[in-house]
Amino acid sequence: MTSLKEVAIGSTAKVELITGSDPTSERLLEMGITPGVLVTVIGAAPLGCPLELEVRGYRLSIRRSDAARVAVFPSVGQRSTWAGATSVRRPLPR
Amino acid sequence: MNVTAAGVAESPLPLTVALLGNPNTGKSTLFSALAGMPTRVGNYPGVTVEEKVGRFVHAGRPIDLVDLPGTYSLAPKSPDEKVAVDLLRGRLAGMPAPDRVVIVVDATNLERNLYLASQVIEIGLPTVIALTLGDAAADRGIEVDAAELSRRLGCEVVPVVAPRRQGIPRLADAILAALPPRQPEGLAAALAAVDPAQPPTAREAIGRYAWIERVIEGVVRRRLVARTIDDRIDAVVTHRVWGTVLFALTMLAVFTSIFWLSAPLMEGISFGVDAVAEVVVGLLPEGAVRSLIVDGVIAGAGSVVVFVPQIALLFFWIALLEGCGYLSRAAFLMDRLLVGVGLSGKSFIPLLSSFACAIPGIMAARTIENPRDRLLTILLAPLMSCSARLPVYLLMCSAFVPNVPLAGIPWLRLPALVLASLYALGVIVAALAAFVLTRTVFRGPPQPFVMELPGWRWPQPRIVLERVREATWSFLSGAGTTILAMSVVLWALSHYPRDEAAVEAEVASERTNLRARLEGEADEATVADLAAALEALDTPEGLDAARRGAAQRRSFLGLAGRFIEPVVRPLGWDWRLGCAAIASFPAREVVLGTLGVIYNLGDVDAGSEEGGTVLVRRLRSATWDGSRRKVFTLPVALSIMVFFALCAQCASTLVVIGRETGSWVWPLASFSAMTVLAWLGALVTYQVGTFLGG
Repeated sequence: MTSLKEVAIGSTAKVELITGSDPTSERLLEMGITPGVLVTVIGAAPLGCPLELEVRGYRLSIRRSDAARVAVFPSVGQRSTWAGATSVRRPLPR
Repeated sequence: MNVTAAGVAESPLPLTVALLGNPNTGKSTLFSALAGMPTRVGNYPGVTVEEKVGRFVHAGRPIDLVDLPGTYSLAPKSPDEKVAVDLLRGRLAGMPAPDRVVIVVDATNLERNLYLASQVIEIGLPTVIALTLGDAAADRGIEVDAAELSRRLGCEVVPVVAPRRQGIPRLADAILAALPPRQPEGLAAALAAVDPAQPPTAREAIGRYAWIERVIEGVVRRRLVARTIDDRIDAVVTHRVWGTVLFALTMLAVFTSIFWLSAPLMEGISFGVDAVAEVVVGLLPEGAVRSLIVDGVIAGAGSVVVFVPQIALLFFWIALLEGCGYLSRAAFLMDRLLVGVGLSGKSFIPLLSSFACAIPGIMAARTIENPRDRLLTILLAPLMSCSARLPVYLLMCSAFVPNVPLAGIPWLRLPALVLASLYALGVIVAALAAFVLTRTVFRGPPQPFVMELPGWRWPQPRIVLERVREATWSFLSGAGTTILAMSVVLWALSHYPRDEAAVEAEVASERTNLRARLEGEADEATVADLAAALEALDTPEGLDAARRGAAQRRSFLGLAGRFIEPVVRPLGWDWRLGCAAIASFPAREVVLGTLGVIYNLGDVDAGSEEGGTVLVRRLRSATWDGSRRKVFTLPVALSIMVFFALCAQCASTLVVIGRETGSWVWPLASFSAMTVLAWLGALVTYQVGTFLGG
């Protein structure tokens, strides 16, 4: 199983599940990292941690150690050029 | 509910309206657009979360707008969020549930904002949604159909552009007319449809987001935008090289302004305080009352106001950086550096500011939502060497540290190395303290660090000024009065008991003592110093200074200095140094002045070249009572500097710690722990220094 931690910078992955049920996992879910959503790894801080993500059309920063609890399906590919197109289930807007 | 014209005469009772929303949604801008300046700012009972209420009148009806702390969900993770949730549910002691709720929803980030909104709508209070940042959304190619959104959510949605006051009257109308919302269509079904195999904590989020995805379909229209503004700015700001350079420059600007830019302002305040003192001196006869007013009250008030420039400048920067979205990027860039000691990137600016002064630094810890990180940052801030310690370091280094090059490098000199080591010492001790504290007192599960990086936008000048005013006022009204009271108490301790006869006797014995030493002294320089000191006793100023010195040495503070002599002896200090350390408690920057008074120099301006030289000469010639052994040697000077680097001898800092943590436990604990640390540090320095030197 791959985690968000291993997703290359610039790539987008689809979330499979969030492991753990402590406040950190709960917050990740509340912030919109739910199973099925697309998450793009935009970059990392100069010292390698934390990560900058794009999810549901906004930017979020999480630590690598916390990214490890986000299980993802193998990479979907490069980031979508549609501003904020985040869910594969939703048809792309015209 | 009758809230129209008829209601005006019948119900003068104000309508309580809670303003709620995610952080970074333009909530503060909306608050000031609706209610203007807050009419009441205080703390919620029992917690250190700030309460802000603004009263305004719309259509004849007074409305109390309560600004709740920003929150992401109704399952609170921090005290700020808990207050918001408790107030909304009417569970906050002494505060009934609000009559209306305004949910601030950011149009650029509708999906995540609707998470909290859907939870609030479910509570069933009359609710209005204020859709903010529509202009920013348009720039990003996002368009929101407010009417359709309103239909799907079951409550009024009013688009507003708060900085330009667009939509504000309509929002106020909607607040008055708001009815309890009907349950949002399909939400209950979506929550029930979640796969029961998912862990319970995940089910709510999964169900709610599934529902939100359906709600926004057709409501939010996106244009193709290859690279958004945020993309372009973030690419630079979080870039490995450019991001770091920009960060360093920004922090340099922040630090420079609170370290140097504030200096002329602070001098201006001192000048004003001195002028007021001068006037009072002219009006009142000499005596205890005049001394109380001039040295106690006026000096005390001055020592409060003098912090205002640094606080105002720091909060100006914080509000500016927060307003444009850089504050969280700064935390993002610095997080890795602080995670090792158990903190997060959000502690960086408060700790950096503490190198100028711990007081604005401790106040800046308000930007840290996580209570544990915030408290830890507050406790570590006084260990950073503040600008008030610098004169002590500089004086001691120039007087007692030999100015020799190191390792044959002509520009690298010993005093510079000592100075740098003192700054490093504070940082290292702080890192060790954090390491120990996070494994003992602050042990617990790791705190979530899931930080939004908000979209870039222009800071609102009004919000920036409001933030500065708020911070300054909360310092003056909250901590200022305590600091003033403490100054008066400390004045009394350094002026009483007064025994004029004993003072005269001490001055006389000083004279005899100097004469005796002069006779037996062979060293030419010392002879000159002693002769000068003796001569000074014959001038009116010199005599006055000697009397003041004697009076201070005989005061409660002086007695305390004598009393603690056995404790400071192992540090290589005589009782005069013990006195100076105790007398520096009102504010560290007075320590040199106190040394001047104790060594019979009167009010010497140790910062000036001339005053500094006089003080250095007097310190160099100081000897132990009844002996010719010099007090100040290199190990003693080093032990004094290490002590001041680590001690919490600053009443104002302790008062602010008390104020910001809402408890007297933390300032007391901080004072005790830092005093022990400082004593141990000075002990090791002196003993090792003496061992190596002798």
